[in-house]
Amino acid sequence: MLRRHLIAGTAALALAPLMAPLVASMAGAADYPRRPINIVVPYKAGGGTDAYARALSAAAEGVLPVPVVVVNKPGSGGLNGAQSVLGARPDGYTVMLTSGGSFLLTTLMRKTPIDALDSFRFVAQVGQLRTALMVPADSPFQTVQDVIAAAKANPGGLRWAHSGRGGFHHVGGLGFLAANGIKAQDVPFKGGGPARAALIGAQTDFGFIGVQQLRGFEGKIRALAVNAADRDGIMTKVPSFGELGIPFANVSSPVLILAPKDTPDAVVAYLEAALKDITAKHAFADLLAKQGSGPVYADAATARATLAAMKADVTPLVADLK
Amino acid sequence: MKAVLEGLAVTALGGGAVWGALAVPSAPAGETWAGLVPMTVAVGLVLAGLWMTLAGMRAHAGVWSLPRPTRGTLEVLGLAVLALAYHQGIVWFGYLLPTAVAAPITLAAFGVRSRLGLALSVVLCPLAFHLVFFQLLGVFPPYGSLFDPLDLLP
Amino acid sequence: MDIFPALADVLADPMLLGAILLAAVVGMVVGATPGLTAAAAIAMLLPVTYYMDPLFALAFLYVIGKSGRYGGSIAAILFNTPGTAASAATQLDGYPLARQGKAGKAMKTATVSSVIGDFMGDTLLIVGVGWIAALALKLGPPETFAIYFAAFVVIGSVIGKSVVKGLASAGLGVLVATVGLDPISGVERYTFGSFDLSNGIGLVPLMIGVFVLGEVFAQMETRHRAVETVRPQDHGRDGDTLTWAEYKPCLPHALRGGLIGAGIGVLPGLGSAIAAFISYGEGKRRARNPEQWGHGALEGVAAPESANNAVSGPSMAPLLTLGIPGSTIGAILLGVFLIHGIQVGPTLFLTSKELVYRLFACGLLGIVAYGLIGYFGAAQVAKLILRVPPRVLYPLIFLTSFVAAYSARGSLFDVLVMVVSGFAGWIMRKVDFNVAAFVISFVLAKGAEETFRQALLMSDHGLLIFIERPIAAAFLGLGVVAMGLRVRTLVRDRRAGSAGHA
Repeated sequence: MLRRHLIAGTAALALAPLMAPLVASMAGAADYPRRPINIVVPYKAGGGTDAYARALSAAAEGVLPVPVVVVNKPGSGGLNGAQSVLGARPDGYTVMLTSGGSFLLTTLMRKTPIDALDSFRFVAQVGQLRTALMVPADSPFQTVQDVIAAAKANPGGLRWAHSGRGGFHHVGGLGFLAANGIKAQDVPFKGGGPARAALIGAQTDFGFIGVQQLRGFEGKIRALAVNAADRDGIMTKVPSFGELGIPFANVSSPVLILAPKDTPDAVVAYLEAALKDITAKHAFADLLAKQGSGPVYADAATARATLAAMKADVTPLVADLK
Repeated sequence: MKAVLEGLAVTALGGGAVWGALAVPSAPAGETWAGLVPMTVAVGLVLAGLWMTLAGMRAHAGVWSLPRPTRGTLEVLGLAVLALAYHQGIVWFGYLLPTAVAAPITLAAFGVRSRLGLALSVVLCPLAFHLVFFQLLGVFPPYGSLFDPLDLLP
Repeated sequence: MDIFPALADVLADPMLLGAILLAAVVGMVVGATPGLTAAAAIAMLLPVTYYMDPLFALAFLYVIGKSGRYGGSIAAILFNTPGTAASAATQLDGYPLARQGKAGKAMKTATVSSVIGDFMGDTLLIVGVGWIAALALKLGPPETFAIYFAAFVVIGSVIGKSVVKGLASAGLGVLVATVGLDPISGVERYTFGSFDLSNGIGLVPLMIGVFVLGEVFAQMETRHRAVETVRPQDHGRDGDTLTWAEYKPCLPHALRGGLIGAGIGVLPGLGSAIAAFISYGEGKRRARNPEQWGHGALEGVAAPESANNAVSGPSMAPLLTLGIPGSTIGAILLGVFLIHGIQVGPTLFLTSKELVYRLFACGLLGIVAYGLIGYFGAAQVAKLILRVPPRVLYPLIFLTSFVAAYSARGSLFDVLVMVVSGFAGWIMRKVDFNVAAFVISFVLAKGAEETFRQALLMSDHGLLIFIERPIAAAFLGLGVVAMGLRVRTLVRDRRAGSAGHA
C-alpha cells in the first residue's frame, strides 16, 4: 500500500512543474473572484490594524460576491505575514492588510529583502492610524509645552511609554523629542493596550499611543496632541502638533492593502474599485467608530506616494535608531 | 550510567545555550543586556548538568555499559521519524496526500491489522480532517510547495 | 453584585447553555482519557473557537478546563492512572476503593467534592476579582515583576523529588521562551539566522507537542504492557450509592481542600496538581483515620479532588487583572482574549466587565453541568472511554495534533515545533524531568523578563526600584521568605533522612 502511494506521489511530483503555469493562467481576471479572498494581517488579532481587517471583512458582504477571510500571521514586527504574502500565489486570493507606517519602519530597520514600496503591488489605502502624545489623567502636564519644559529641566529624567521599539508610535515619539531638542527615556510595552494601561496607572510620565486608544478612557488619560499637521477625523477634540505650532516628525500609518507583486492588473483594478465601495459604506465606518478610528480611502497611486513621502521623512530618524 | 549520560547531556545543552547567549549583541548605554536572562539560565543549566554528572558518577560503582534501547524506544523513534516525514510531506505536497499516507501507517504502527480499516483510513482521514478544519472552520490550508491536489480543483 | 444579571443573561441564551453542556461533557471525557489533559484538549480545540463569539469561545474552553480537572478523577479511580496530573493524588485512595468494589462511591465522592471546591474557588474569585482589578490599575512593571518572581520561587520550591532536575526543567522552559526577538530591544536571540525562529516558539504548538504528541509517543512505548483497570460494572449496588453518613466525614476535608486550592490558585504558576497533593497531605495529617488513607478512605478522595478544582476560579484572577497567566490553561485563554480583541489586564474591567462576569456565570453553570453529569453518568463516561480501542484512539490523536498545531496560526513551522517538542517532551518524561515546570516556566518567562527590564528602564536607581516601591518589595519579600522556608525544610528532611539511615 505504501508503495502504491509512493508511485502516485512520484507521478504527481513529475507533473508539478507542468501544472504550475497552467494553474496561474487559470486564475485570470475574467472569472475573478470565485474563491474566498484571504486578507493576511501580519499582527496579532485585536489591534488597531486588525480592527480594519475585521471591519472590511464584515462590510465586504454585498460588494464582493465571495467572503473575505481574515488570517492573522503575527510575528517579527509584521515581516512574518509580509513574507508569507510575498510568496503567495499572485492570483488575488491572498492580499495583505498592514499598518503602512510600521511596515515601512520595520523594513528599514531590520535586515530583510522586503522593500515596503517595491516588493508588493499597492491596491488601496483604507484607513489611517495616528499616534498621539498622552498623559495620565492626574498628570501635572496640562499642555505639550509643560512636557517640553519638564524634559528640558530634567534631561533624560522623564519616562515615556510606547507600544514597542521600531513601531510608528515609537518613531513618532522620537521624532517629537528630536524636533524639540529634548531627551527622555522610553519604556517599551508589548502593544498599545499594555502601554495604555501603564499610562492609566501613571507608570510613566507620558506616552505615544494610538489616538483611537483614548476612546472609552477619557477619564483615565488625557491626549495633549495628535502627531499630525491637522486634527484626526474621528477624535476631533484632540488638538494637533501642527495647529499648536509645535515641531514634530510626520510619522503616521496609512492602513494599506498590498498584493503580491505579480498580481494581474485587472485583478488589482477590480479590488481597488471594490475597496472604494466598501470603505464608503456606513457599516464600515460604524464598525470602526467603536474602535475610535475611521475610513480613509486613497487609490493605489496616492497610497504609494504617501508612503514614499513618509519614507523620506523617517529615514534620518531611523538612521539614529539602528 | 544513565544518570551520568543525562548530566552530560544537560551540560552540553547549557554549554550550547551559553554560546548562543554570547551571540546576543551588547545593549546601548544605560540599558540591560538582552542576553542577561539567557546567559544566567544557561550558566545555571551547565551547573545543574555538572551536578547531575558528578552525582551520577558517585552513585555508580559497577561496570560501565551503555543502556540498551528497548523495543518500545525503537518504536517511538520510528514514530518520530514518521512525524518528521509527515511534516515535510505537508510542506511539499499540501495536507491531503501526506495524510492519506500517514494515516494507515500510524494505525498499523499502533496495531490495527484490519485491511479494510487501513484502506478506509486512506480516504476517510484526509477527507474528514480537510472538511472539518479547512472547510467548516475555514482555516487556510497549507498549499504544497511542489504540488498540491487542491490546485486541480476549479 | 454584577454576577446575578450576568447569570440571568446566560440562562436566557439556550445556545450558550448548549455550549456549556457540550464543554462539560468534552472536558470530562478528555480528562478521563488516560494521557490526555484538559490543557491539551484546550490547545487542540483552540482553532475551533476562533470562529465563535468571544463569550462562547471563552466559556467553552473555561468549562472544559473545569470539567477536565474533575474528569481526571474517573481515570484515577477506575484505570489506576491519573487522567491528568491533578488527579494523581486522587489515585492514592481512589483505586483501592475501586478494587474494593466501591468505584461508584468513590466517583460520587469525587464529583461532590469537586463541585464544592470549584464553587468555593469561583465564589472567592467573583467576590474578590473586582477589588483586585481596582488595585491592579495602580501596579506597574516593578510590582508585576515581583509577583512573577514570587511565582518562580514557589514553582522552584515545589518542584518534586529531584530538585536539580526540576530546576533544570524550569531553566529549559525559560531558555525556549527567550528564542526570538527580545521584547524590549528587538535584538535576535537564539535564532541562528532563521527567520522562523525570530518569530519565537509558539505556546500552542509547544503544548500540543509536549502534552499530546509526547503522550502518543509514551503510549507507543508502553502499549505492550497490560493495563489493569476496574470495569465500572464489576461491583454490586452497594458500592454505587453514596449516603450522607458516608460523605459527612469527607465534608471538612472538602472544605479545607477548597480553601487550600483557592489560595494556591491565586498564585500564578502552581496549579491543580500541587494543590491536590498539599490538600491530601494536610488532610491525612489532620484525619481521625490516617491509617486508612492510601488504602481506600473516601476522605482521601474528597481532599485532593476539592482542592484541584478550587484552583480553577482563583487562577483566573492574576490572568484577568494583571495579564499574568497563572496556569497553562490560563495562558491559552489569554490568547483567546487577544484573538477576539479584548485586552486582558488592569483595563479589562473597564472595557469588558459584562463579558467577564458572564464568563464567571458560565463557569458556575459549568460546575452544575459536570456535577450532574458526573454524579449520574461518570460510569457511562468510563465505559465510553474503554470502548474506544487505544490502537485507533492514539493514531487519531497523532493525526489531529498535526492539523491542530497548523491551524492555530496557519504555520507549518509550528507543526515542526510541535513534532520537536513532542519528542523532547517524551525524552523529558523518560529521564524524570518535570514537564509541567518546563511548560509553566516557558509561559511565565516572557512576562517576567519584560517587566523586569521595563522596571529597570523606569528606575532612577537601577535595581533599587524593587525596594522603593512597597508592593513590589512585599512580593519580593514573600518570595524570599518562601525560599528560606523551603531550604529549611529541605535541610531538615536531609538531616532526618540521614539520621533515619544511621
